[in-house]
Amino acid sequence: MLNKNIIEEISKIKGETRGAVFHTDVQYILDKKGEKGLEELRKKLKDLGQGDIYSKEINSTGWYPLWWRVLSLLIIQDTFNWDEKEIFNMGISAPKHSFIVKTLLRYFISIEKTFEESAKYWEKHYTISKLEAPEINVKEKRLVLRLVDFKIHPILCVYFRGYFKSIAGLVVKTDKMTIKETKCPFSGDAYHEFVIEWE
Amino acid sequence: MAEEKEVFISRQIKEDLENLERYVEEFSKFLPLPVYTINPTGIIVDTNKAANDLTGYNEEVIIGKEIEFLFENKKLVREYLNQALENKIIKNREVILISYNKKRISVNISISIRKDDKDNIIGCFLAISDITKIKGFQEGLERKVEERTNDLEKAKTALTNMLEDTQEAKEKIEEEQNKTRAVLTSITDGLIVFDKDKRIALVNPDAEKKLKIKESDVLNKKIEEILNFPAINKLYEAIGQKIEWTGQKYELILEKPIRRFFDIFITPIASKEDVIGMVIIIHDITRDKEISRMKTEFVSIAAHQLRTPLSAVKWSLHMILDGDVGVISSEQVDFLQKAYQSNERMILLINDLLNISRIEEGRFIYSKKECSLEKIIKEIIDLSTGLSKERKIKLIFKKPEKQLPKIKIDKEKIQVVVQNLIDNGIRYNKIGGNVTISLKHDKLFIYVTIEDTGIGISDLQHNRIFDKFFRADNAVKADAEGTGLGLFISKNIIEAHEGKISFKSKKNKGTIFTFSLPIN
Repeated sequence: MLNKNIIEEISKIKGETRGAVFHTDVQYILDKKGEKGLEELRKKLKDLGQGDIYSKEINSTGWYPLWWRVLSLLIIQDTFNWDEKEIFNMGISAPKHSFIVKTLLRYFISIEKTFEESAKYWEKHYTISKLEAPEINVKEKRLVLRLVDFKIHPILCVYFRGYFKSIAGLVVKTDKMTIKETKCPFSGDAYHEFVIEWE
Repeated sequence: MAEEKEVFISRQIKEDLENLERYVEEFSKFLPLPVYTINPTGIIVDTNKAANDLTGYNEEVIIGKEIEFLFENKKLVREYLNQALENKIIKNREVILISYNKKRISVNISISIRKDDKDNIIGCFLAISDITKIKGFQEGLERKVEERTNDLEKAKTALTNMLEDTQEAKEKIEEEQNKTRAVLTSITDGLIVFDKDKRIALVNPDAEKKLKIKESDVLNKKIEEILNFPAINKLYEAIGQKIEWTGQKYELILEKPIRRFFDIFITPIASKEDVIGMVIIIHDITRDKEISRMKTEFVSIAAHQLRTPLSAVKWSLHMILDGDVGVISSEQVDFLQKAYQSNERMILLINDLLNISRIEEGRFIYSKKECSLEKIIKEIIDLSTGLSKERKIKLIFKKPEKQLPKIKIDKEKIQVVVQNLIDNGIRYNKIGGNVTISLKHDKLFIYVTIEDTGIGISDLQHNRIFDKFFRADNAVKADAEGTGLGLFISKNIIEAHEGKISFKSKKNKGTIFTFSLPIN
């Protein structure tokens, strides 16, 4: 149950993210729960003494506190009592609605090109940590992504699994693709490691 | 200072980006053309509102799908995509799009490749035009064209059939015409066929021969235009200078090269109720005339030759019966009287035959003199008294109230007529019957009526009563001695006087004969 203590805790998270992430959340909620769902979220934010992070005033390209990103996912999960699967699906959906992603479409030529530019891609979205692609093996149909210095909140692990899979899906033609988080700082690892494989 | 400038530039870039985002979003929402952004592998990476509206797939579903997912013929669309990625122009290619709710939509697709600043292909835009309405219109048009074509095909077939039928009918008509012509040309009577405008349409060989003309010279001409042919001129005169159906028989006589006689008939040619032409039939009666003449001549000669010995027999028998050559027994008298009567009948027959010969030769009426018809009738009544008494018939003469005018007649021949009619009234009467003779006149004619109370004439035989040698069935039974020539001769005599003879009769009730003679 999300409460002010938790909010106070997450508000300590440093770093910033693009407003586009809130827009993709809004889009997803509108798809699944409609305007009413969005109103519920706004009410809850208000009840918790928070500003409207789903406001139209939020610009896709604007920089906003990273902890708001965590707050958005937690309040959505809490309000609608969603499990990890739904958060994963939010990650899947996000790139499809993101203006920032659209600005980067020119890199979506191949999986190599897409993830060779992963660092640049990350920088477009976040002001902290970095994203690396230590292994891009088209032959083996395997991709390894590594997110370093990003121990923010476990809910983002779920969200990013969906997000990275969705990005990979935009450049790999396959009906069967899996993603696993093989390493995670919350499990004592030095970084997040996501392994994407396809057939 | 440099830091402030960097912050300023960064803010400017941010604002530009925000403006760009708004612009792209608004443009995407406004753009009526459905557009998909595709990466080089053929995966949809972006879409716009019009595309979502058309296909029913939202971004959530469609982004990440291969572009051919949207279309029925996936192979073809992939081929177009590959061609576009090879820099070929793909514009308005017709394909079928399958929408989210499985609706088949006819669309045209155009593909335009995207390149980065280094001229590398980074994907393409695929624009879709919904041509359902156009297609529907086109299909409707095609359907209409097809229907019209079918109609035209049917019409063509019908026309072809009609043409074939017409051709067949034409051939049949030609065949019929040829048959008709063959029949007409082989007819031994001359024929001149006129169309409804009275132009010559056919002249058969017999007519050509008789009239000394050639069909080719007179075809399509009116008879008035060819009067320069002498025979045609005579024909034209003979038919009263008009080609009309009067039911009349005309006589044509052509003198050259030999005198020939023709009966001319004019008959209409009718098709259903319409008269479509006329035909002049020229029937040669020269031979009939000659035979008739020879027959009449033969009868005349034979009758003359027979009359002389019959007269000699008559007078010889008369002398014997009168006892001039000695006394004869009553039995001999009886035989001789029968012979005398038979001889008398023979003389009467010979006289009738001679009269007929004269009638047919046109020399029967010799001399007309002014006579009193009343006196003639009285004389005949007096002569018939013996016979009437023998047959117990009462002869009644109703004299005219006013005196009759005298008329010019051949007395001898009119006597024959009156004698014939009174004789018939007596012979074909019943015992105790009457024969009433009456006279009257008007300004133009004297009318003589002989009325009997006898056996009458059957209705069926009325039209033959004036024919030569005709005797009614009941007349033959009543009197075996008649020749059947009396009424024929009488009719000819009256008509030769320009009078008329007629009768009214009812079987077993009696007969009334009336003849008229002109006063002047």
